[in-house]
Amino acid sequence: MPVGTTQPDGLVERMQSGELDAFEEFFNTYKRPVYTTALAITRDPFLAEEILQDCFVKAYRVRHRLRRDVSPLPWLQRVTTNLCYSRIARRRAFVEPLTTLITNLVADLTSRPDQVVESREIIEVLQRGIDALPPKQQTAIILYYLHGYSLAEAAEIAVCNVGTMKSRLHYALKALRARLPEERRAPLPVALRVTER
Amino acid sequence: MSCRRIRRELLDLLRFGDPSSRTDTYLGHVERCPDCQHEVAVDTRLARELRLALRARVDAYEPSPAVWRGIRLRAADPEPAREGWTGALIAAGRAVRVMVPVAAIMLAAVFSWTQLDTPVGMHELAADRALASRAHWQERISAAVVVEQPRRAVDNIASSPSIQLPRPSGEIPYAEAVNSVKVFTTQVPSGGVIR
Repeated sequence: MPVGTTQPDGLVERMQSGELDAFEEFFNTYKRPVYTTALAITRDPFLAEEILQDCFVKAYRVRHRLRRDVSPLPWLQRVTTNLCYSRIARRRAFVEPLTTLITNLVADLTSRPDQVVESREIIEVLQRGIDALPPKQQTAIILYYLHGYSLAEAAEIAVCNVGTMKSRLHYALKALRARLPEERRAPLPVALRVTER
Repeated sequence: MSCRRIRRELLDLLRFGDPSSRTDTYLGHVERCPDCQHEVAVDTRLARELRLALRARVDAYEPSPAVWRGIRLRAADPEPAREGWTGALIAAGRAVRVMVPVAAIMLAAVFSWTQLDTPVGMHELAADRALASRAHWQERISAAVVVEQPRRAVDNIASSPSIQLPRPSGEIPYAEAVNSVKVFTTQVPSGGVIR
């Protein structure tokens, strides 16, 4: 859901007037992107649900301060990322890595057995790399590559300018690329180039 | 143009879709340069795998219906008080928020009172503060009383245990000393001896 999308007609207004149905509609409209962000950062479905709950309870409590003319999604995403990192800092560790799940999920990414193995390995490497990124770079990666927000939208959520968001993405990709196996990073050997041509 | 610069521009183009006037030139270069082709390929593949890795984290999950029930229950409750050090910190912050203006008002009041009751220029000179010292204050009493009363009255006053004179150990405000002298002199009977 792009950030620029405005809210459904009068949803915030109805929520502000105390309609619980409107709040439920508000929740159903925005729960998926919020939950996705929380899950991508924490990698813990239960913790992500807690964060989802906290985020919407907070939204309800400050509903009178929500703007009616813009989508509340950037604000919700910002609250979510803040909640995620404060929870993570408190826990100091993720509860349960989902490596097994990820491995199973990526098994059918490609049909060739050698590519399946390689993809699995690379994705595991990337998962560890994403976890090791500083929070700001991690948020940038999640907003840009998972949600597909534009640079401007991601920058709005992360409360920074577009240049900073670009820079965070560059550094994140650089760090992830450094984790790739050597043969994936180095230029192709000359012999191979000739062969390919 | 160097491969290094072309790669940087191309990666910007690939990652963020920022085409420039030279995009065609860069693409033409990539077609001819195997090293740049490799760079582009690595980056493209990395972005694709990164998306897959991120999707793999979230695709299999949906928030359970219990989440909405929990939200509804909690939203109906008043905001609970925070506990632990966070709560203590917030309470301390609130206390400071109240105390700072109060302290500022008190300071301002004391300052303005000093400004009003102190003779002009007195507060500016440290030496003038000595006027309010005990020795100087007694001298002023004596001087003030001598104008209206015999000198011995002053001596009696000074030694009399029945008259309570303010005897500050340190400095006292000038105005207070002067007022005391005024009160004191009006209480002394003309020409009388106080016992």
